[in-house]
Amino acid sequence: MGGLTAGILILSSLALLRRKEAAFPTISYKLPLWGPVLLSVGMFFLFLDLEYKAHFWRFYTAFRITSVMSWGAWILLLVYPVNGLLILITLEKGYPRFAKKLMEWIGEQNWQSWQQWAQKHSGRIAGVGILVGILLGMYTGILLSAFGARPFWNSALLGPIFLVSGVSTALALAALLSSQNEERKAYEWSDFWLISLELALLGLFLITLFSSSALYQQSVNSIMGGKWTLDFWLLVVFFGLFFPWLLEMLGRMGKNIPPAIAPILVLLGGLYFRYVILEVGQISTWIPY
Amino acid sequence: MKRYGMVIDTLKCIGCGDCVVACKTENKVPEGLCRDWIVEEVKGEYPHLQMEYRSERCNHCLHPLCVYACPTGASHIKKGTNITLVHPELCTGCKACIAACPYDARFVMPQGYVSKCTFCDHRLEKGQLPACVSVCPTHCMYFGDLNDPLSEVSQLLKRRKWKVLAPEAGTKPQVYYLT
Repeated sequence: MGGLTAGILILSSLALLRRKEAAFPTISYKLPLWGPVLLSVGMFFLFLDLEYKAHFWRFYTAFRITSVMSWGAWILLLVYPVNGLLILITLEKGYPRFAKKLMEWIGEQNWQSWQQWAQKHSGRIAGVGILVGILLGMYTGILLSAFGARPFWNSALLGPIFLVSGVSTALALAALLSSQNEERKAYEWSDFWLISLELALLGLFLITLFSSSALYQQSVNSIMGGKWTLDFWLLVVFFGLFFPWLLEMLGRMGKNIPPAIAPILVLLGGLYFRYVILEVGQISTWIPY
Repeated sequence: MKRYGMVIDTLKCIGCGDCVVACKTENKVPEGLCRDWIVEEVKGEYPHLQMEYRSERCNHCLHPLCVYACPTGASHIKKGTNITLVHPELCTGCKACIAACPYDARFVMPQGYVSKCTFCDHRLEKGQLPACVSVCPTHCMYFGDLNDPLSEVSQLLKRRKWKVLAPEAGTKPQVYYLT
């Protein structure tokens, strides 16, 4: 969910910064509202994963420079105001009925003064949106790669992979939400290139593990004949990446492909990719007992 | 600064598990969890086999990745020592320290906070040895300040061959095994 929100922030901010709202209305106007909703769902699950739930607020009583998770906790807090400002700029065009209700609740004068301020600084907000989106998108990958005790995670490529995967899933969501055929095709074609990049990065990730020391080579065993082989190669790589990549290419070549299949597969594949990486990483260890 | 270290003679250890029982009793470790454990390692091929018993625990590393990974400061190093401790009241149970430890020495208590071996810090303050060391029936466990060249542990490491677990992890562990 964090990756998806990161992708939303990056894409919406890019469209705003480059004044491409007319060409990409779904990304520009509709996606920003989905950001905090999806992020909150993700944070709810993070909360559920805490063993000492009553102490969740302790994250925000300290900033530990050596702890990637501490950086992440504060980055997550940055996302909400930035995403909120993007919503303020775009909501009336994306979800006019909801915007009207919100305006009534907040007060028309307040809403308009905030909106005017946000629109005046839209360039800066979009710039910060891209930066925060990149930080959020890379965060989980960097967090995992910083755990030297888990050889499978200990790769600098995880951050970029998580970022590309997040933007790819955001494009898939935009393709699902879009009601215009041409716009949807543009998203799918962009997603085709992002999936290509993700496949290449994933390949490089595995190559770097294989060409490293014995410990790292052993860490790949779980997906190379071990317990997670089928999950990784069939569900993540084939159904989550390669198959939608193929469908998007065939769609570009003019074949009649049902439009929802590829985006749904990308979204499910992105989610399952994270699950498999987390599980495989946790069982890779320095002490084999 | 005191550099506390534990030295365990694998040639004398018989894997009786008294250290584990003593630790569980002393520290009231709940059922199903343990701060130390016994590993029985068999190497080689029959008939040329070698067996080793090791009493393992948190290594109180000089480069403690668990402390660096903790987002709240719950995992910390006790001032003036290398003893790694956990403040239960600061711990969120995020498990970052568990993922960061190459020795899998940490676990979650039923209350939700993370726990592990403390070298029986409360006993050290009273001038006593860690519970595991004090009960070992073969006297294969030694404990002391490795910064003191005259301490028993320093002398043992000077005289005998030793190893530490996963030195390549770069954590500078302070539990030594005499071989």
